[in-house]
Amino acid sequence: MKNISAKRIAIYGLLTAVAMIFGYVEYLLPLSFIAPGVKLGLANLICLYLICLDKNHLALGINVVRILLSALLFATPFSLLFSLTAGIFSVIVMLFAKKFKSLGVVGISVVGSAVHNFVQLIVANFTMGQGVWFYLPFLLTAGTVAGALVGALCFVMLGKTKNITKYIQFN
Amino acid sequence: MKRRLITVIDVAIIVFVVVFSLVFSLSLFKNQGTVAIVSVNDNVKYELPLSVNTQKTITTEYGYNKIVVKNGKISVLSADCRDGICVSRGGINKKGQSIVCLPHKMIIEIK
Repeated sequence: MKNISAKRIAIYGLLTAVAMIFGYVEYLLPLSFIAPGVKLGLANLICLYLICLDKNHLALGINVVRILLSALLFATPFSLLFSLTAGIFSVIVMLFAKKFKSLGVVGISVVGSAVHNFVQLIVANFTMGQGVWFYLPFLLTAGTVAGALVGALCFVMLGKTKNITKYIQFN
Repeated sequence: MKRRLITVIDVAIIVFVVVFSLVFSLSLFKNQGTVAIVSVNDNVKYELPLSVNTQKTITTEYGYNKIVVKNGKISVLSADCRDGICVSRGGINKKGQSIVCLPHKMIIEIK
């Protein structure tokens, strides 16, 4: 915790707040008619953005804080178990995927979304039984579309903020 | 770090994931039964969808069988037949599988 400046605290707070707002926006979009638990994954946009900016620790940290705070506001302890495990695993896998230079932003995002769905179903398998695997094809297909969308959005965001990111002190 | 929006590998990953989920769903629906037909003496008593958790007790002149549908599987929970084979059969969910209780002339078949 040494050398933690007010600027850094402000940036971290801002990023967490934006991630939570995105989380709230996707909470308002009812996509659950496709399969239970389908969502856009907009909250992941900030995480992906930070990964693409090489702020690896920040990506994981902000994602965990965002999930904990959102759970405090909207969710139950039960759904926290799902979102936290899936959130952590998908970030870790996206960080690995980033090492492959031949992957684009969309690719990293799609891999992250697929891992997210898998981990959630594994957790659901233990808490609700094997019947949940029935949803895997729906979740994977919807997740791929959503992941590609978020990846494209992130690419646009990276382009738009290209000129200011170098002035922002991330860490 | 400069990253491209989408690369050939990305498209390959997307295609792989979609094909994987297609194959997964095909293998899932090929074997997975959707409805369980419960009949006594060749008369259909119930048609229970496996997707809905239910519990039914079938009482006939021979005795009773307590049937339960849970998590996509159907099983006989308890019965007062003499051998209890139907209970020990456990849960079934694949097409063509059946639970037979000979003493009560009851058959559960997955369609």
